[in-house]
Amino acid sequence: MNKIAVIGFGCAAVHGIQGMREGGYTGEIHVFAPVDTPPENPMLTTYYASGRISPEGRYPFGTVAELQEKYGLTLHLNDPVTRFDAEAKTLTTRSGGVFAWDGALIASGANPWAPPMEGDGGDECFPMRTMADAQRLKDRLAQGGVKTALVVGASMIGIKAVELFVNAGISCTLADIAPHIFPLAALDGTAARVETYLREKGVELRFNAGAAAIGKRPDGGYTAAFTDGSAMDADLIVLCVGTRTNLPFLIPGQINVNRGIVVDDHMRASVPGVYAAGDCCEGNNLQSGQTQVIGLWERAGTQGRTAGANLAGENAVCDGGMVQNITHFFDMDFISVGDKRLSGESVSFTGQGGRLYIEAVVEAGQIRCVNLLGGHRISGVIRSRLWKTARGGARGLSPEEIGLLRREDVPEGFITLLGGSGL
Amino acid sequence: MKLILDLDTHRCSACGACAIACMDQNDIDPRETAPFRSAFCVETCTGEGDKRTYLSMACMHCADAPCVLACPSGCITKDPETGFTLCDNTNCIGCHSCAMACPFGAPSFNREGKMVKCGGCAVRVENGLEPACVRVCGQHALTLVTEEEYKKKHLETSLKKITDLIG
Repeated sequence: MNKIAVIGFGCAAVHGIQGMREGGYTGEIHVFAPVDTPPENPMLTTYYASGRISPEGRYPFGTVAELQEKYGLTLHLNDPVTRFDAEAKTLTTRSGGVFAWDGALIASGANPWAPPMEGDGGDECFPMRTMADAQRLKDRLAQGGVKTALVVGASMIGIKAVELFVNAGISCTLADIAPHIFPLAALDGTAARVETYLREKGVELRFNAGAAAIGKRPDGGYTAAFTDGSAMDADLIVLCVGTRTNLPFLIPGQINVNRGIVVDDHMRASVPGVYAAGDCCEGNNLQSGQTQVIGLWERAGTQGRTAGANLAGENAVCDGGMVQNITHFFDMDFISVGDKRLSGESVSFTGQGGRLYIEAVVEAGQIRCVNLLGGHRISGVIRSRLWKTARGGARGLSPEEIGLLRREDVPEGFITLLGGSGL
Repeated sequence: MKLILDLDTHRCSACGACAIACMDQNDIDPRETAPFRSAFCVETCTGEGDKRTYLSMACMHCADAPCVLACPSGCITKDPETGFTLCDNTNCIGCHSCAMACPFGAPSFNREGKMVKCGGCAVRVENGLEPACVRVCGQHALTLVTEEEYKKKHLETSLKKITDLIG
């Protein structure tokens, strides 16, 4: 193998490139991306827009030049792939160039998605996925005159946008078509607590209310109409509804694609020589045994590194992942590990004088999904435990784990449930 | 020369001197920042009766540290010389992703909400000194050893083996 094409220039791509070089690959690496900015992390967008991080902090892997020199890259930036022929082993770019490759890593990520909406204001809403989006929002806020904001999408990014507005003294409404906050992660009791907390912070919550139409007002603001028949005015609207995999360049029928490119535990796609990693691919969900897009920064890195190592001729394995989230807003941690769709009995605990709330779904003595409010210092112990269980390697908690949980005043009932037998 | 902060659990009495020395060395006010190191005794009931385990725990400086990949801002790195897991929190956003990745509850957060943790007393070590926790350990339970020295030690009594906990 002497020519590897990397499609995309984000977390999975960079780790893939690193995996190739560390695996001993010395051939050409060609990177194709639609922009010429350094690799970004969508998670940082709201932090940049709020001023929490500096312009230099936007790019966790450094500058384009640094990466080019470090890994010996041939860059094709501002020249996205428009057609990827997995059988002919060629790709075509927007500029019309045709490139033949020996191996390929597709790490093209995901794009923000919004449902079809009526009205003439939808195009002026702010998505929150790229640093360009963040800069646009930052510039708009700097202009002044924003007194009210609507955030559509009660997601991990959405809540950070809400926090940004509230901290800026802007009256904020959070709306979602789901009945509760964090619909993909929060269990009922946890969601109710988060919602109460947000209302105490002055956030107006509208659930069962998806955005149906967004129209412009003469004063420069917008009117949003919701699926429940209600409506509201806002000076600014941010859309954090969700994402969809970015794979428009694939030729239908060549590569096995569900919602994302389906990969095996070596990050191989269904066509030899083609690997995929990050938000554009479906890896194994350790709990369900099904493939699923699990759009997490750490997973993207692990998947990328695995794919890169294998493109270099190694035999690296990424056996899968679990759905997990952590977000910190208004001095509250919301942490979720495991698939909330799995059935089981719901149990809850409180600790640390009420500052820690734990809610779990338990089936046959095993925790399938757990939510924490507070307790970031125990989240790693719990996450590690659930991953081990999903991999079938769980045993009783070690003294070290028990000690760490007790250190943080975790209720003994939960420690026992987690596997702390023999207490 | 990779270094390992090792603990002989048979020697440890969880006296807490290491934790105090660590707070002193790193100027930690425990009222606002959780100490980097903590010592505790864990009582468990086994088939052979009650068992007490004495521990002193901080960042384990894992070889393939999961916090490095988890950090969304690229703040955490491995020192190629010592193997210590180091954090430059300039761009830390306080998201706690590192805490969720760490099976040992090591990351702490300062008054500004930025991650801080045991850095292996890297500056002391660079200058030929022992880490503060090692220096103060009266039982010689905590030691800083090279990877080669570590391999020679009896692994059964070593806390290092629990790095296998990483999934």
